[in-house]
Amino acid sequence: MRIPAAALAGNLMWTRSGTVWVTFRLAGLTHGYGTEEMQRLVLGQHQALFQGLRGEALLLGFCATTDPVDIVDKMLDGVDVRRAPGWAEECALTLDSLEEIPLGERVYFLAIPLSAGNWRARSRSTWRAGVDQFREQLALRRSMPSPAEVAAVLAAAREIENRIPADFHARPATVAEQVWIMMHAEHRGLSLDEPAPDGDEPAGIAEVPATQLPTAMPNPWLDEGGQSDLSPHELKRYLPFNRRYLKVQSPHASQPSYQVMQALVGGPKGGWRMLGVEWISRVEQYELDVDWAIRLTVTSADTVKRRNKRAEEQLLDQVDQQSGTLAITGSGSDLAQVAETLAAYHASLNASDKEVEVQGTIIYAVGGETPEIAQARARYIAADYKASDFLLEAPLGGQEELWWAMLPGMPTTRIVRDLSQITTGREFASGFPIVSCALGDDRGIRLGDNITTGRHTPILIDLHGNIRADSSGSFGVVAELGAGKSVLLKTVAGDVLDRGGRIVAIDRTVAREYAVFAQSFTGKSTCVVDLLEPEWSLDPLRVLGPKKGARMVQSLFALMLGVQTMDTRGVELSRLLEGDYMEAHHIDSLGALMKHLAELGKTNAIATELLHLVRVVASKDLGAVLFDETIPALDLRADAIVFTTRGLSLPDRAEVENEHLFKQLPLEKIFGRAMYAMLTQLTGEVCFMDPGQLALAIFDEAHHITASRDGEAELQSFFRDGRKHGAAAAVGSHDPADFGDEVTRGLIKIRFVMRQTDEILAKRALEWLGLPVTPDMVREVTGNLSPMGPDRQVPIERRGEGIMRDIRGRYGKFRKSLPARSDRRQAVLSTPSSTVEIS
Amino acid sequence: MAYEENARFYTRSRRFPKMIGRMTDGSRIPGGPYTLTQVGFGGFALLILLMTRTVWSTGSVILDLAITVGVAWGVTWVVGLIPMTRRNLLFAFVDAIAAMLKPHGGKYQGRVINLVKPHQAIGAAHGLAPVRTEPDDADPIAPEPVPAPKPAPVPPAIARRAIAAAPHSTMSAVEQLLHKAKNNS
Repeated sequence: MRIPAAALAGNLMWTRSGTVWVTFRLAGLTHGYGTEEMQRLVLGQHQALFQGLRGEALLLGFCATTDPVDIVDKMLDGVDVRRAPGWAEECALTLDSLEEIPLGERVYFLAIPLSAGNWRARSRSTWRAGVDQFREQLALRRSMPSPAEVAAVLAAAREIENRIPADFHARPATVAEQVWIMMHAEHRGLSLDEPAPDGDEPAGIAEVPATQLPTAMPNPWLDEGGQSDLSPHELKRYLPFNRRYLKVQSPHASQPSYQVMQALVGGPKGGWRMLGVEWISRVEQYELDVDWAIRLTVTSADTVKRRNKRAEEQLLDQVDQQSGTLAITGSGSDLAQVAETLAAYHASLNASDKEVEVQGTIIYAVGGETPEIAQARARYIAADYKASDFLLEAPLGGQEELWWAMLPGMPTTRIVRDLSQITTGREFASGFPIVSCALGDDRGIRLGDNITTGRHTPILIDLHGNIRADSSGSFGVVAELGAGKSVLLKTVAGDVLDRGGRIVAIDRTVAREYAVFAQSFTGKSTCVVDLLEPEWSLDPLRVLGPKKGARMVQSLFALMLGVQTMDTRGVELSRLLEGDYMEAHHIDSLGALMKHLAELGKTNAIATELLHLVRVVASKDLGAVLFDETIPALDLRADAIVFTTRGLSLPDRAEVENEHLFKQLPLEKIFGRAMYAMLTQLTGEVCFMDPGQLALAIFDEAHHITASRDGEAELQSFFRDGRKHGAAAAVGSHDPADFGDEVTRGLIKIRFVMRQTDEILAKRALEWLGLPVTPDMVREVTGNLSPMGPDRQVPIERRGEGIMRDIRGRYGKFRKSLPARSDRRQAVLSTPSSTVEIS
Repeated sequence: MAYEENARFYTRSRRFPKMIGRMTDGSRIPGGPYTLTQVGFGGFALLILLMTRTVWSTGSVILDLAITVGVAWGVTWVVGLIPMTRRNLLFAFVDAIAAMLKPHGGKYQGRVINLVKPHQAIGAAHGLAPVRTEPDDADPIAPEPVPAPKPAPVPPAIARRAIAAAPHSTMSAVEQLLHKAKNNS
């Protein structure tokens, strides 16, 4: 057999046999985790694809490598590296680390031999194919299809394209892609592969003429059974049973590729569940590259019914011929099974008028640098399939034929027909061949790796891009202690900062983990405000200026000192905080306000009362952050602001809502409540400052914010309004209920759930994620996300696993990756519990 | 619980082993039923034995017939022992034979590559000594330099260009292009 291409034009291939093949590139349907409804949708699309085809077709699912440069390019997209040296360094180091791991995606092609056109067109192409063979012998130029012929075939190809369901996003393959298919087949298992071409070259037939020549297809040297590895005189040469592989030498490789082609020869006799047994895409779960090709022959139900009628007649004859054999173990009993299968088939074909018969030969190919590697890989797949009663066989003496059968343009051969399996279009669709588990966005921060399948590709998320696309950049993380929640929040925060955004974090931990984390922000202006040992003052009058500050002081005093806005004290305070008055009396800080109150107090009893009230807080250590004029005021324009609130406590909901409990509140709680309210307001103030710059607010352990109604309301307004101001919020907690009411939870578009060993919490997390709360899914969250090893440690390679929902509502499993820079990595792991979290 | 739909392959409904167990008149064939492969191989054995009878004949017609029938039946029986697979037995057999006889040199462009053993290039061909008809100095390839007037001294820049232009005639178009680009720069 030889390379079939005689002429190429766009997605068309004129073959040596005279047939014209048309190739389309398909996109996989979203399918990772998902609801049953989503699965049914994927099934329906596949069913429509198969039922829409007639005659022969070749469906290919090849593993393409992804160039790390592409990924890093996407990470750099939209960032000016001259202004973001930290990000540039991160990207450079990421490039190095990505070079070391295999990356890739599965690319899908559908190739169909065209049988359209009238007899003249077909006979002309057959005639030319014959003439070309002759011309080749004479070393003459090949004839090329005329433009009129190309146009006619293109029109037919377009009709086929229209029949492919829209969700597959079929687009005509390019000549480069057709050549890539050939190259890939020759280099299988050699790690030499180029990434699949993007298809952004000029479409149609007006491409670079050189690529249209079939000589662009590399001619392989093929040796079935590796005969050339043996001495010609060796007896072993004639014993091919253990050498069921093909040795392929490509002109572009320095070493041969050994490949094993296995075909599916049988499935479970009793059948399998329509949903959940994805017997074709099962190979996605392996960490090794398995290519598959499906040779299809689709026939309409009417024709098939005639064939079945004949089969029934033969069956009846066989009953007669085989009568008298043993009833149970004899061949006659097999006929009963055949009869049952035939009856079931007939019923299945009659289930729908659209139903078709699909005769599919499913070929799996693996490659390796040595025959042993290739055979070991093949055995692994066969064993895994056998465990589910699907039988794979590498036919002896048919390796080369099957290898050719995996390429567009080759006619269907006898062995391919011999190995085909018969079923209906709907049932064939249950193999879910064309699926993708892609997650995240097309550019942005590297969140981690997609571990939904065996191929771990990086997941990128683009918070600012989502905001610009009129969606939300906010995300939430739910996980139990030590599962990697804070690491995720901190890594994303650090990346946002490095890419030129701004961050604000409220940190309540005693260890001040975000303050430690903030030390790694080199080259950025960072302010860490410790409410109890302040280095920066939060005095609203100084931080926000007299106008905005005055309003905040009034709200703050109302919460902290019980100065109601409309009572006499409130009215007096309001008078003092009027712009002109403040300017006239040089009131530009809370300290100055106190001094002025003291002066006024000589004549004004209300002022004295106010002063005494203020002193309740101002005279304590708690008050320093507001009233100490010796420390500088917080600069809201800083790139990173961290509020650490250790030592501050908050009243719970009952204490706020019951009057008698409220009256007994200790000072720390009263102060804490007022300060949290002010902090969330300040956070909003900072984040909503510049709509053109991404600002991320991090609320780790969000239950502290939402414990009070005020905090919850502030958070909700943040989620509601953030998008308009280029701001996003990141919330983390152990339970989604901590993020607020249903509306608030629903406003978080990007959701992450990491390990939750408690079943009840796991169920709630799944519900929030939007996945069905089935026992399987609960087990996945409780037992299969970063599971603990026998030594009570989570193995390094399994740390930081979780399930995510991306902005487009796709679900999948991810593993958080750590920053590539070692100092940043240390910084995100700064909490005592997280030093063992991920590495 | 929702009805769970099942999927399966119906390959067996159309591809099942066909057997012959009865004669056309409906009577049973002794020892049957036989698969088509058995019948084929048995028949083939019968044919071969009958055709080659002259080679192995014992002399007695009855004995010859008994041997023929016995061997043919034996072949049929042995073939019947081969387990039935999902694949066509005959094709599997043909493929296995083909696998044994795969060419040692592999295939390139559909053709078998025959690797020629390393060998010395000796034999009938002899290197002929150049026959000289004219004396050496009259060799037209290397004419004796005609004494020419001494060229005027050329400025170094022009000399360089002349040297660079010298190999022009042997350069391909692309090389020339590259060369030009180099000179221009």
